[in-house]
Amino acid sequence: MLLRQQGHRPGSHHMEHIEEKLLLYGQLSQADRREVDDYLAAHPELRPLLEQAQALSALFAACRDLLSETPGDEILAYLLVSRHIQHGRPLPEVLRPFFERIEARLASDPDLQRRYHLLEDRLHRLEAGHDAVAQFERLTGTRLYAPDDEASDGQARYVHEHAPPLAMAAEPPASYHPSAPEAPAEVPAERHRRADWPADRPADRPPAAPARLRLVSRWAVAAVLGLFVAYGLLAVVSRLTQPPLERLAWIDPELLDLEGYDVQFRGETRPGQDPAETAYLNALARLREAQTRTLGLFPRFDENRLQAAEAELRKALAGDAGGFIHSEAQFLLAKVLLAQHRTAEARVLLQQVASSNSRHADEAAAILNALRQHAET
Amino acid sequence: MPSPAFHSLDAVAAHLPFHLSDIEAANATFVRWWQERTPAHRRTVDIWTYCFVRRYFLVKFVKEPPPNPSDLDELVERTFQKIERNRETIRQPERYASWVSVICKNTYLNYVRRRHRLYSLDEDEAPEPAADPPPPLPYDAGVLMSTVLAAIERLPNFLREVAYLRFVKACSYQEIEAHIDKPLPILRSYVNKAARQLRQDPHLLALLEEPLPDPEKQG
Repeated sequence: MLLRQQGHRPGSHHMEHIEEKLLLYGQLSQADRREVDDYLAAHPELRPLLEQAQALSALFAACRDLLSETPGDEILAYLLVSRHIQHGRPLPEVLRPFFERIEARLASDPDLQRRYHLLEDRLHRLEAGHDAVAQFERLTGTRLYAPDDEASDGQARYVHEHAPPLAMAAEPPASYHPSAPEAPAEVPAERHRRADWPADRPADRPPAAPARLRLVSRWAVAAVLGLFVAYGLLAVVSRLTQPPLERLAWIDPELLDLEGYDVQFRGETRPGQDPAETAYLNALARLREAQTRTLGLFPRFDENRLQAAEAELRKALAGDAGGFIHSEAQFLLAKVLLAQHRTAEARVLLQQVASSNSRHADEAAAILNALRQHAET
Repeated sequence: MPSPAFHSLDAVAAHLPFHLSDIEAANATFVRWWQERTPAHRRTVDIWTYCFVRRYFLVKFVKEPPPNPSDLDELVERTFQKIERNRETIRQPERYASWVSVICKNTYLNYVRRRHRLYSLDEDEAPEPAADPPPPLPYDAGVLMSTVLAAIERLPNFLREVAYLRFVKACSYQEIEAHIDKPLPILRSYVNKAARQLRQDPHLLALLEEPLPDPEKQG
């Protein structure tokens, strides 16, 4: 990129050669390094490029050291510290194979084990008596644990709950979009109050408030869960208690809610409107009133309104032979007859719809199939 | 199960909803905090930052014990505060983890240089300035490996293996030829293409950037 910015021809073979060598600068032979140095001496404007390339070369070299067949102290110390935290949480995919290889090597190499134990002793000496929880709380001015927790210091708290908190126990989502943990517990006002903490953070809540809030939250969550369970049970009961014919007869409310026909639902008629269309729209209005549910459950039909809808649908059928309204009315009338348990009449209409090119042909065939199975049982 | 002497960092890290070495998750959380400014995201960012900084210095101190181990706490605190002070100035929030790791690296290098000068003068009263110590590996191992390997993963399929062998394993062309059945001129062209793309990879370059605009802030 820099080469192009500096006006050098990207396709130049010699430049490509130099670019590659720059990335391996640390590993070059003396002759190769001299070649690069000479080139750059002749092109002082490329000095930033050399610096960038040398820094990248150092990155690759450092990575090479870490990934070496014989693990060095840096990677052993990293493994050691990482092994002591976050048990059960898997390493990121990109690192896993390398640490598995080091673990395998460590398990079978006594020299490596000796080095590892030496590092482990150092780690314990460094960490003995250190309270990271207290340091974190001092630095951030927040409490990691709620003030009413039984344990009073970081180490004792850890003994009480060395397992990760419940919210953290689940695996992270595969998408790597972490869920946020619960909101921070508050620090008493006399502790370090940070000026830059977001303004939505209440300042003077008494120490016990978070515990009470959590209790209320738990009850609220339990209540919502209870409602969900109750609703689920009612849905099962609703489905079990609904006669199969009525389930097949149920009309998708969207079918009854045609765009542009809302004027008709208010009892008005457009001048010059076709009688078949008027009857059809009246039927839709009756059907909307005829089928009802409570909280989306326990669907039921109103017998009188079904009869009124049937009369309007028959008028529509008679007034529009073979048109769109005819096809729609035929299907709806079949549903109305099913809702009234008049299966034989409904079946005749459904067969006509299924064999036509109506948009309801597939559904009509499916209902006929269901009726056949129902009759067999 | 951690040993009893090392449980309290685990007690902090246990509050993270992802692995401490998962820099993609850390970056994503920081971006969400940057955009939404919710206390919950801020808390996760703080926990990750603290645990990352403490682990970074622990690894360095375990590998090369300094004359004064009590420097550890002070270094962790100074670095955390530096990060916190400068968080709002970050230019690429989506590379927060790299930014934090470079601040750790710079702070550690400054510490090593200062320590070296101090002890050189203590041991030898001669006024000659001490030579710079051999540079320790200053990067966080997890960030470095994740960034380099992910940059190679982002290359087109046909360049990945050749880039890994040439730049990470430092294989010669003869060694690469033994792994990949392609004529030498093709391999050379692949290496050149890979080199050019790696030099433009924004995640790799983020590890080289100076994270703090004002050198005085680096303390």
